[in-house]
Amino acid sequence: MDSPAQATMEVFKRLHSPITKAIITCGTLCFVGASVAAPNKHAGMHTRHATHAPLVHPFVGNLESAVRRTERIPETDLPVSDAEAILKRMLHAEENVRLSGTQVTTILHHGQQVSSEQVVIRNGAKAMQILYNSPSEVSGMEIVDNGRFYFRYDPLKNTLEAGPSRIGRLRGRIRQVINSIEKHGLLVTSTGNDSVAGRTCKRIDVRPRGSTASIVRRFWVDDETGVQLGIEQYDARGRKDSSTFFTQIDLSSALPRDAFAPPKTPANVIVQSPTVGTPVPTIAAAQQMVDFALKIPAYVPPGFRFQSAGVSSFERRHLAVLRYVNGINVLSVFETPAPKQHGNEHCRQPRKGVLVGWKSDLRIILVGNLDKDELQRVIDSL
Amino acid sequence: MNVNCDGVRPLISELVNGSLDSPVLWQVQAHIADCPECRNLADDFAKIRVLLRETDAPGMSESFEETLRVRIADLSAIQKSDEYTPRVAKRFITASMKYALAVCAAAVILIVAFFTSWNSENAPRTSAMSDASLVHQCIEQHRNDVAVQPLSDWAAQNLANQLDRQNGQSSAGDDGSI
Repeated sequence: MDSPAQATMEVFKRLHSPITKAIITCGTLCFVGASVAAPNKHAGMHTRHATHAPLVHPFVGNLESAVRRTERIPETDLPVSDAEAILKRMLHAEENVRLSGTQVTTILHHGQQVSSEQVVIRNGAKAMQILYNSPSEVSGMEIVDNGRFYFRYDPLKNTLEAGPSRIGRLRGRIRQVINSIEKHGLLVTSTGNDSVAGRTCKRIDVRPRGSTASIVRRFWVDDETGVQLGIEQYDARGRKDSSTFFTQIDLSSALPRDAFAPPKTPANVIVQSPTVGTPVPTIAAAQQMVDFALKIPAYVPPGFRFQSAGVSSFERRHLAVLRYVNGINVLSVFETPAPKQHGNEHCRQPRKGVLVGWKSDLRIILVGNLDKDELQRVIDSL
Repeated sequence: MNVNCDGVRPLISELVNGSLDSPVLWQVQAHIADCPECRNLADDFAKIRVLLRETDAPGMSESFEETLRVRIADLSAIQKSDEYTPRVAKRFITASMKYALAVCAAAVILIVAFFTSWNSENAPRTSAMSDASLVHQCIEQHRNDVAVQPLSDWAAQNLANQLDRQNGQSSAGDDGSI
């Protein structure tokens, strides 16, 4: 199996849902055209730059010469100096800007700092491709979301995960956050000027209004286009969880024509269905899809509101999730029926941001960037 | 360890019994997550275990004690008859039969001991394994959703998920990104 079209047909053959099969068939026809028209995928997209300027953050590179500025983001009505306006402009850019570049991401994993380098091609909230260069555990891994399908190819395991697009959800959610900014639901403060990937930018801190945390997110926003050049994410206690910075970015509108085609895979690739489940807009819709009574939290932390629900399965039982957001953080409440085991009556915290407990015959798993006490209050209120 | 189907299948019963140690356990779990055939096999093993656990031990009938009393009384009456006792002994309690009965009794004791031990020790471990898999799936789903939230570090969420998949599920006490 050499061509993406064949790869997609293989996905089609192996996926379970007839609806998904039908959708993928339509998409395959589109990809065939794209593959034939532009076979040299990623051409020119893997430029690396070794020189780094003395900047505030260690992952920031000095690559100004490589940057071409051909796309401008419309100015918002508010003055650009206003921190809220900068954030709004950044969100508009997230939705619309086409870019390609190299990013470095650092996270804590099993107590160790792990960094990755990935090439990113993005068409706003419509399509995205990520190709990992490092670390070795993920090198060669490719994620493509073309607005209709999501593909994740893992060359080490020779697996191709294929499912419905996820990036489309971003568009509606961006509007929700913009509404929240306009209602002053987020505290946004400008903390100075900086330079990332050779581009001048503003540094802004964002946290939900009423939050006790001093900082939840820090963004580096390109002065010229509003593009997010860097992000730092902090946990509930104000400790840095992760960071991602562009080391090289190209804001040209010309993206490779087949950038968002399915990954090229060997013929014997193992095709898998993702475990994301079926998203539904309301709790009532989720209730209709599961064979147990959903428990709804009477308490969620201040600022959190219901956003969406979803239903998937675990060990052939329904696994429902209710999602609550405060404009920045997400709290997921997972529920699944499970026979109660002796000695498991008490909640336990298997790791930071996760609390596992029981309510009647339901296993409850809370996942969110919140303190244990807050998670406990939510689970107690179910 | 050979992480293909042939290498994993002999370990599935140990996986279900909860007797695999961490490094091998993660490799087997990672393989099973990706291999439908081995996953089905593991599911079948798990189902058999659940069925065994849920099956009630056969109980005694209500008339058992009364019947037993009657039979003991009858045997006592027979034993009182001098000429009958040797005949019963010769007919039913031969040396070979004694041996067979002893073997059967030992087997029954062993089976009962095995299942008792299985239920009391391995079941919680299997439950813990299942619990860990559930938590792993929830974290992955959570991260997948956060990756398409505005103002999130989607690249970090993706990376954390990929690393967890490569290294087996996230370890207890992990302080990584959620």
